[in-house]
Amino acid sequence: MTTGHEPEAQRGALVIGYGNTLRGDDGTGPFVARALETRVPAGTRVLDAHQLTPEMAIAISTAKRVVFVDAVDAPDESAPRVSRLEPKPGADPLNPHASDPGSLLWLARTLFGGAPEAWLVAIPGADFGFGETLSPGAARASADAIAQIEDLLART
Amino acid sequence: MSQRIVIDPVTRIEGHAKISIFLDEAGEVSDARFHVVEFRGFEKFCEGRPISEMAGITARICGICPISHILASAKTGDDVLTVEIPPTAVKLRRIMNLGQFTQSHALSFFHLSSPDFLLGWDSDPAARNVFGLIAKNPELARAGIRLRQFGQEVIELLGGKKIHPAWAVPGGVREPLTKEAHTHILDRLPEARATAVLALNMFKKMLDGTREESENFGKFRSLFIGLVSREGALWEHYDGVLRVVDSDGNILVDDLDPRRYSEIIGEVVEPFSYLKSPYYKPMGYPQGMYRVGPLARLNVCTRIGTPLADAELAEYRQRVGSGGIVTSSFMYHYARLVEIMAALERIGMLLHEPDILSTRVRSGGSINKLEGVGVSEAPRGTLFHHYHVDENGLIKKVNLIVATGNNNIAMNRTVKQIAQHYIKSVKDGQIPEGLLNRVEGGIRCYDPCLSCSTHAYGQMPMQVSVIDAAGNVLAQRTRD
Repeated sequence: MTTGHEPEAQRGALVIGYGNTLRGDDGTGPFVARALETRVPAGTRVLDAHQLTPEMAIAISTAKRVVFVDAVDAPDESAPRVSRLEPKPGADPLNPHASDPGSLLWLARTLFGGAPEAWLVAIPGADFGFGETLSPGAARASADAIAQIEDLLART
Repeated sequence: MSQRIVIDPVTRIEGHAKISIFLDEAGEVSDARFHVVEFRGFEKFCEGRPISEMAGITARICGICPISHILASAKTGDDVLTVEIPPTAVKLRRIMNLGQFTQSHALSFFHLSSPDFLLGWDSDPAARNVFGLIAKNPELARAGIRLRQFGQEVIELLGGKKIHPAWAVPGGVREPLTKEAHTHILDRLPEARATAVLALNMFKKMLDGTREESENFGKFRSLFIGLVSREGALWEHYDGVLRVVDSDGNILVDDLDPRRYSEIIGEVVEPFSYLKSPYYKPMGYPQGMYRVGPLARLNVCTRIGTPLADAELAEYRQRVGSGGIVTSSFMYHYARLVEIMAALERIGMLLHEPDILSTRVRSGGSINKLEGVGVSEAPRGTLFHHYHVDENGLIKKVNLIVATGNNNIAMNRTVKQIAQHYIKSVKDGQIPEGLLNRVEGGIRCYDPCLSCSTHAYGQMPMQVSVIDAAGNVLAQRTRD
């Protein structure tokens, strides 16, 4: 696991798994990030975070590619949603409670000079109550998400 | 059989700062109340937990200043274990607290408050936000993010993660500082100091343009409480003794062991707020209003003890305190910047201590006292943790006086002062946007950690009600 204070000039891919690990399926992002830690290609940085924070824009700006991994409240779904992201000044990127990947990409481009190609992998969850374990459905979807993220990272 | 629990008053609005402004029979503002609508219950649900868990549990009180609770809790544990922690552990705890001061103050100044300073109190709320800030001064926005990143890195390099690291524990800390982390922090210090200088210069330049805010955003006489060093009464953030001064600079209490805090601080519960109202006991409630935090810390100390910060402190006192005590809460912002410089210089000093990389960072111990107190300075002010435990170290009773709580009476007074100045009449039933902005700005001076809702950027979710002498709501405005 990298911590985000590695050399900023590095041009590998970046994976940011974020969510609250005390709120059940909301922790799928960090769960996936930890699982990827030993599986990603050399030079890839993996961040495991509670929230998106503005300083991540610095790491994003120098990355070759970024994959955001988050949970989505979708109890009737079983497959991760994978979507392409564009920089977009929507939510306040300086507010960890409001920031979203598009705003963070916008911040990276506007203030730090770069916004690489980016994806959001949204993992469906059903139980966001208190607890440190994933529901069976979220655990299965997380396994699928890991495989899909590995494919994204393997693209040239 | 099911039970029904009723929490009264039911009119509280979750996630909003709720403010009531009361008018007298002449239609003039007679009082104002700032209602804190969150109920957290930490003091109660910690009962029965092992003291070893308290740092981790209380850290969850806040995502912005968890380090304050971790340190105060660990110090309380030290007291219960009756251990003297290794000197290196003290230094590492100090570095982490200073890292937190840096990131928290940077968040407050660069991200939360700068839009007000740079874009103006009467600017369109739709533009008075971070996007407006970035458009107006991208260099400042960029530097602020990097400064906050630096503070977060200090925390993460020591504690393993940025938020809620369970690193400080009763008896010391879990892990020493690595050589790699030591080098990394030292390498980044010059840039961080340059950012502090940039922000100080910017703030000083705009001082002349903020006279009205300076005069009306919480400018009043009060007491000031904070920790100072045991020798020389220097600026202190982790240990030391309590000092109380008044607005004339008279020292009312000095060299008080923080364990004896309850001799000078009482707490009142007001029915309109979940936030308790601490007061200085000898003067009673509410006359014993005091302020804590950056403004108070710079008022109670003799000097900071590092060259750049001491030069800034001298200038600060001369510019906005006539050489003495600074009484305007608007100057919390300025004080925060001086403290950023102090924190950065202190980090540098500590990193040059010969034993800073020592691996002796934790003392052993068992339950030797059934009561302990831990006091430290959080970015927002003095933080008190007080635990009673049983023979097995299980918590029997908890008292927490959090930094923001200390300022509760002063925050109410600030809202009243702003309302008195900016509400001349509400006879048309309208509350002007400018009033909302200034009330928000007045509260923001204290950078209150009421809940994450008050950390909203640019504009704070808020409901303001104006109530006449007969209790009728004349006007109400809600902003989501």
